[in-house]
Amino acid sequence: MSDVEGATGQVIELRLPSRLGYERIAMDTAAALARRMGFADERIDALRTAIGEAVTNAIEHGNQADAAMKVVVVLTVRPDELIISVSDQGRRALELEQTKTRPHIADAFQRADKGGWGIWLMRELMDEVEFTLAPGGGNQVRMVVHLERSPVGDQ
Amino acid sequence: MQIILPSILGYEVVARDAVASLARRCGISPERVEDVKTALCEACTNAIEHGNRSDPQRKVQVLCTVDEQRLVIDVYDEGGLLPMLPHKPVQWTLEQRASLRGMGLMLIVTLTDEVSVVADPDDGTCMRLVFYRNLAEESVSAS
Repeated sequence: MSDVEGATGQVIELRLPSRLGYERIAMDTAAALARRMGFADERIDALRTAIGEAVTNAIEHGNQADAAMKVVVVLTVRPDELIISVSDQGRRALELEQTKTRPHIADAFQRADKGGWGIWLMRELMDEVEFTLAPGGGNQVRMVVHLERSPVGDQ
Repeated sequence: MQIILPSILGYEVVARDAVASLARRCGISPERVEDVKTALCEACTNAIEHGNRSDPQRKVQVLCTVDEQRLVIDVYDEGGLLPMLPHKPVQWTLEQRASLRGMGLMLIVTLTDEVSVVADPDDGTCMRLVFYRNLAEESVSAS
């Protein structure tokens, strides 16, 4: 694939209904793409986790699990990186303050849903993470993973 | 669920993996998922090469809908050569062929439960692939 990509990259767009379970399709699709780009297995696992969290957030919080609302995942393939943007239709806006804090372990254990770790995880796992407003007014998270090719024959 | 791809050969596998992931989750058996993947790849390759004439600016759109009985996959291109579907049952004529090129449509007809083509001179072509869900197997695999 890499010989046909320009500086702007090739774009694959995935539009999903806001129903839990569809985050798995985004994870599988991105993982398959990343594998073809030559990412190492542990980077692919990290990518799966980060996309799973981003899409789950978009489904549950941004779109309030209204199946008629869409989650849009845009995968941009560049020779040296993969850019993943996940946007929702913003039934509930994410407060930017929420995107900066680390969860407190004590608080996290108190929460019955075991939630609250998603954004922290995304920041830990991806090379770049940025929260913005989607063009349509919803929440958008843009994540970048750099492709580090290991030297040929390197174990 | 909707996937939009550039008309570049190689990207059909991304659509294939996305749709395979959906198919596995809606009660289609593993062997049948392989048929879904093959048929979808052929349909996307057709759309890229013939429908969109490999113009990367033109998009291929794959729209999947799941209802109680079926997984319906619509593959849209932006116009070009109209595929002519052979009728079922397909007569295999492998020994006469120098290559497998041109076998795509026969494969699609053979592998799908239903297939149809709608062409609009302005909007392009849509090929619909239908696979029946096996709901009994889904309840087994969910337990």
